[in-house]
Amino acid sequence: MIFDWLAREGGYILSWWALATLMGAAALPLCWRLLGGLPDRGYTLARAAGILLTGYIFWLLGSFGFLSNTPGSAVLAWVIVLAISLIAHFTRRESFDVRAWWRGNRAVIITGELLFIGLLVAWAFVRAHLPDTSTTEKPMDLMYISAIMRSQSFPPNDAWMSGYAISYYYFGYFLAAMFGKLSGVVSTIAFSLNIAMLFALTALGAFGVVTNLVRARLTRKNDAPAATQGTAAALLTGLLAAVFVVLLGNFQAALIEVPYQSRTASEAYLAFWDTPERDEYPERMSARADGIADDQPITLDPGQDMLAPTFRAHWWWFRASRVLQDRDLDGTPIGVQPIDEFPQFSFVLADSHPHVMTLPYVLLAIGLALNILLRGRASNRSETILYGLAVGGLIFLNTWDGPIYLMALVGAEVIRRLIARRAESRTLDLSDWLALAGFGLAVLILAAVFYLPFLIGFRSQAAGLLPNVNYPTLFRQYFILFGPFLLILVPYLAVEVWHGRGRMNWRLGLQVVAVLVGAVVILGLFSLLVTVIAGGAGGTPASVWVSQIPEIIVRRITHGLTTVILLAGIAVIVARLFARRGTGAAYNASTGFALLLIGIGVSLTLLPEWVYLRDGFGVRANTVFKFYYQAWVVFALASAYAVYSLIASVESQELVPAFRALSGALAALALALGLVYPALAIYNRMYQESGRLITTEQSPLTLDGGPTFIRGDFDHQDYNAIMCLSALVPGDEAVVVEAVAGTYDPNVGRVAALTGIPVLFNWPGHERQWRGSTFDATVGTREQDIGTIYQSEDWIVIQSIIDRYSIDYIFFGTTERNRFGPDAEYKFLDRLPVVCQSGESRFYATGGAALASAGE
Amino acid sequence: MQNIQTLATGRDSGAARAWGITYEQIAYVVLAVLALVLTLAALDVTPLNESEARAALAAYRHVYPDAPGEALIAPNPLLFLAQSTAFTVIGNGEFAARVATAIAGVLLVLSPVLFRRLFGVERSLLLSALLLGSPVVLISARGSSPALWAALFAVLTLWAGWRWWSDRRERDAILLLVFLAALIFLTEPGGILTAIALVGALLAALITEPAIANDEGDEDEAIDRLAPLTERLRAFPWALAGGVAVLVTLALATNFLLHSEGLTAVGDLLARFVDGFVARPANTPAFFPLRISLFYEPWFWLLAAAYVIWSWRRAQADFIERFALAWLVLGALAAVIYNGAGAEHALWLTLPLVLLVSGLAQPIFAPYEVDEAPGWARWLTALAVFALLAMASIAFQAVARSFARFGTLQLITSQVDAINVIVLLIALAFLVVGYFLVRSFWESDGVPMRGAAIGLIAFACLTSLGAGWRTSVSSAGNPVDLWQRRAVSPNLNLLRASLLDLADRTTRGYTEMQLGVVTGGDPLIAWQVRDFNNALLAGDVASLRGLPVILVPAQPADAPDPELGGAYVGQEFLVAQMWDINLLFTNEIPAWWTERFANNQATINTRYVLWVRQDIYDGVSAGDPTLR
Repeated sequence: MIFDWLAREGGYILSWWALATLMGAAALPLCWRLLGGLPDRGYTLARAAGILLTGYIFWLLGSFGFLSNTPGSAVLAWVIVLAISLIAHFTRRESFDVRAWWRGNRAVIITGELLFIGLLVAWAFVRAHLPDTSTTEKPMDLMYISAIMRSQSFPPNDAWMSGYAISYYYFGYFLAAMFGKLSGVVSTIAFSLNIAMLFALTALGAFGVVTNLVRARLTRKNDAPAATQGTAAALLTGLLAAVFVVLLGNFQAALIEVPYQSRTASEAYLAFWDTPERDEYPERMSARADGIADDQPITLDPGQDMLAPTFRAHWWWFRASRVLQDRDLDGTPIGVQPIDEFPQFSFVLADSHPHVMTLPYVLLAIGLALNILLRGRASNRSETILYGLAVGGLIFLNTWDGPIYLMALVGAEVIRRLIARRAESRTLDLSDWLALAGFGLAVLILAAVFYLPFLIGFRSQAAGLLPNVNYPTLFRQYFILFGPFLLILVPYLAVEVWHGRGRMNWRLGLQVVAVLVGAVVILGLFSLLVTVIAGGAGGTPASVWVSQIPEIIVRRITHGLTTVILLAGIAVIVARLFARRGTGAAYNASTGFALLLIGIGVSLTLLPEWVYLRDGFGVRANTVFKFYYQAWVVFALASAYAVYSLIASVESQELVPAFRALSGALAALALALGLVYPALAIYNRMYQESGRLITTEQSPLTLDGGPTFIRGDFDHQDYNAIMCLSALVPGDEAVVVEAVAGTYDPNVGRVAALTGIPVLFNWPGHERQWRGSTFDATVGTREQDIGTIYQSEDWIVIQSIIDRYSIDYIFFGTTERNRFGPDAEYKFLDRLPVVCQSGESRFYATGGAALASAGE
Repeated sequence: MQNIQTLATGRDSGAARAWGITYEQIAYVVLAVLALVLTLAALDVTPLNESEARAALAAYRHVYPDAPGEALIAPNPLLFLAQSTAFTVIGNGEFAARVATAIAGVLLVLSPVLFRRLFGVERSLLLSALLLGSPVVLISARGSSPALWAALFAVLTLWAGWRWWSDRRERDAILLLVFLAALIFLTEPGGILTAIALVGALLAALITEPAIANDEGDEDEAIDRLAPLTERLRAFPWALAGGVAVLVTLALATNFLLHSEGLTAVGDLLARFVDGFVARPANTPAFFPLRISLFYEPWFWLLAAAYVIWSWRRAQADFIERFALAWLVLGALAAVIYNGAGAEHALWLTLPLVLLVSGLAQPIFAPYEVDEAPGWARWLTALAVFALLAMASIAFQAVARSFARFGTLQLITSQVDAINVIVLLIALAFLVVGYFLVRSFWESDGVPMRGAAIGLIAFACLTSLGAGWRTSVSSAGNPVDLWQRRAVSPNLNLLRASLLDLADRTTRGYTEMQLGVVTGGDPLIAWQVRDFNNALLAGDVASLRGLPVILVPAQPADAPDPELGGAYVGQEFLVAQMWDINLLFTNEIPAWWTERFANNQATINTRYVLWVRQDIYDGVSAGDPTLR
């Protein structure tokens, strides 16, 4: 079966690998020049850089009308990147010996290449078992990829709102579509390959950052007795980082899901963790419904073997992304709970959302930050331009990440300046702060200028900050989420405190914490004042808010452990980084960078304790989601480095052996418990959920997720008819009408999702999210008009709607038949020619506009 | 490098400086007039072929946005610019679509004059004459082939490169990069291979530079033969020349920014270059350009081989010869490995071939070294050789025809035309005997050899020219011709005339007639209806029911007529034909080579049916356009 699959679709994987490699090769000379601080000169980041730059040039020239959306245009963009890269390389002042570079980095290069191709094939293999594109929000992702592939110019069409461009940060979809067009695959295959490539590219990025981090330490401190041994340690640490970032899961599976499914945990145990849908057994809920009191014992059903072929607990693996449970003051869980995804969950789920598609470029940005630190000098103009492109790219990929990694770049520059001061002082003066502000501003302005065509038309959902008054995170839930890293980072920070000893700047650390606490108190008082003056908030009268203050304070105190621990972490990091005067360097650059990563992670998880971004959800759900996700990445990288520092570095031999052993044991425990999730979840998705363990006739492996739409109302006739239309309509100059429904429904919006041909309107909930305040004006009466087309018998009215929106095709498939009845089709049958038909599913052409679409 | 430097600095002492007309100038004028006549005459007689139609449609729809059909990506940016200009200035027919490339062909023929200082007068003239006689050049020039533009820019690149190498002027460096960029990005996918071949040939010619013996008589083995190139490249004004090249490329690709999406065509060209390594066009045999070159220009191969042998035996292979030979080898290699190459890519071989053959100018036209034969002796001999070759050629054609008439090789020996065989043998015998006669008469080795070379070159040029003319004009619709992978039928002209006649009936001569066309993606048909602004190009006939005139692909003979929604009268037109070379029998090869004849004709025919609604056919206006 595997070889059959590889024979059929191996070429697609190979072509994506080749494309990514060629783009990386084009950017490599540029990396050699601009990423000279990194021991590998940016080799491991070159693929991400090449893809980003090629995509950027392609998108920019397309946005200005110089390029149409064709594979050739992407090739031209690649040639331009190659030309720029070669010019940059050959105009460098200092000499660069390529042979010496190869000799010094061949182990890293070979390992990186094997890692990339191996993970690409491996995750494509996983995906081929269940190439689902129709659940959760995958139809949305697929719609974007299909629409971009079909769009003839940029900005690409929003295929669920004909006549309008995409109103979302769509660069990730753009890159996926670019690969799809270049490799000549359909969007439903590109969808699967994109997930596989993101998986491999992210792992490569993590490997590259941490390998460079360790090698930089070895190079500068001669930490290893032999170069080979040092390289081996760096490679292993890099591979560990790749595992931490893309493969590791949180502790939900090991500590909650397995006991829950096997019914081996006590009810008190589940209640202790208090996670949504896993805080009590279903038997308890049934008993309660039967009137049995909660303090009465119940009989639990026998536990289930999670590896059994028949294990069918529906999407149990999804619960790992819903660990936090925010409750109102009366203890009632709120309606929209925080999302706490992590990369492995994202890859198992396989939604191609922006926060996933940004991962390789996040690691690129972190690599650039490391380059700033290791360069040992202020960034020059060319480097700053690259940083601007990367930060702007993040804004375009997943807007939230832009500011985060801009701060990472500036943070790296802070540490570089601190280290540059050597023993004299570990504080910065005014000129340093001004230079830092200038650097940050320059990168920000460049990012804005580079991506102006996107930013001009983009309307962010975020509309300011709101205080998080009464939803703190329980530390035990925080531990479930970040436990794998806490088990490693807490000992690591303890060791760093020990290393710092007399030079720890505790005063500054505590001052920073005090400022943060003061800011939080002031923010809280200010919000309360505003709420009282405004007469209430969220429908709650001001008097109620005031009366709840004591309860809020109590909750903040009883649930304050997370905040206290995170603030303590910040104090330690600040005290260590801004060390007091002493002899010699207080820490090396790699350690400083690891501390910076931990500081970023701590800050990102601390922020949602007190504030959240005002968005369409109205609660902190999305803020937690976006911030925790990035925290996972930086914690994972820092943890890999910490493992090296604790048990493999020369300095670790200075530690008490028992402590070193304990650290190793904790790291092993973290790894073991964290790997329970991927082991079970991947197995579940590949074999149990796909039904491959219980069916005798197994469907062939395939990356094509298109046919997975054939479920629910959507049958194969609809699919065949839609594929026919896709072949019939060559470009994007057509408008189709199909039935409209809410969101998350693959039975509607499927013409656009599968073909990229714009439909008049669909998935209203998502369109509302994307378009925010402009939604109502944009959509107008489209939804009602679509209903009229299907339901009205007055052809004059229908024709007027057709003319108003320049509708070219009307689809009457299974969903339409179920929703409007078979009689609703007669008016179309009587008047309009059928251009595509499969069984009872038909596309009707409305007039001349459709006719002019074909032919040379 | 010694040779080229010597040649580069050596001025031609024979060049006329005074006011007045020289023989050389007259010769170039004659060549130019001949080239113009050959390339421009009857340029619009044959319908555009498939690739021509696709390129012309892209330009046409850009110039005339109301034209039916979607805007197309230009297959070749430079051709797009030329055709857009022509359509704007001189109309929208086949002549306008082809005239720019035809003129480019004339320029290619005359381009050796640019190298006059390097090659000398005689060699430059001979080079021009050979290019004029090349059927590949003629067919490409008359068929608006982008490969011809690539060839022209390859020559211009060489010219600018030579001038920069010899004079080191910044202007030449800029021109070099501009021409090179145009060759790579603006001409056609094969232009990139041409550029690679040029660079490869340059390196090969430099590397094979013979070592110079030092004072002790030892060859200096440590010599870095690429040092001159490295040294010049270091001094190259990359920033300025690169900047200008980028700007010029951008300007040309975008029609001077009037067609901003023109860069897409550049990207498309690059993508097709990559595709060309794996995808072979339909009905195209492997190594196609090589086959074409051997098929149409065998004399050039023969003469080039003779020159190379002569040159290497005399150890006179200078830089130009080494460069041309390396170019030929690389061109042949490209022809072998590049699947995307078409017939016109035989130019990859033609240019180095003629460059090699032109080397014969020196031995042919140089004064006799030891002989005392009169100057006209070689010309008289050449005339005799030419006459004998012509006689042999005519006889050979007759024999070939005779061979081809019979189905098997067993019969040919008994039934072949005996007289023509005898004539052929006599002519060949006279050629051999004539050599000794001339040699003994003038007691000269030079006269018979030079006369033979001149006669052979003249014969090659004339017969090749005939072959080129036949392929591009008189037998353009012959599918058996190796060049024509999908021969376009002259019937397309009839189809066009019929459409115009119908337009006359329905809209009093304006091309505003309602016309439905199922193109099936075939640009041949789309081109014929290009100016029918009310034409609807559709994917299926169901969408076109009831229109006054409908043009659809012909159905198989046993299939029912399409349901058009009323009474229609149909007329079938042959549009194109394809022939399978595997149908050729061995005994047919001579006739196929000489006369493009084969017993088995086209196997795949593209036919269209022009359906005219009964009322239109009867000459009565429809009145109610909604009538169905």
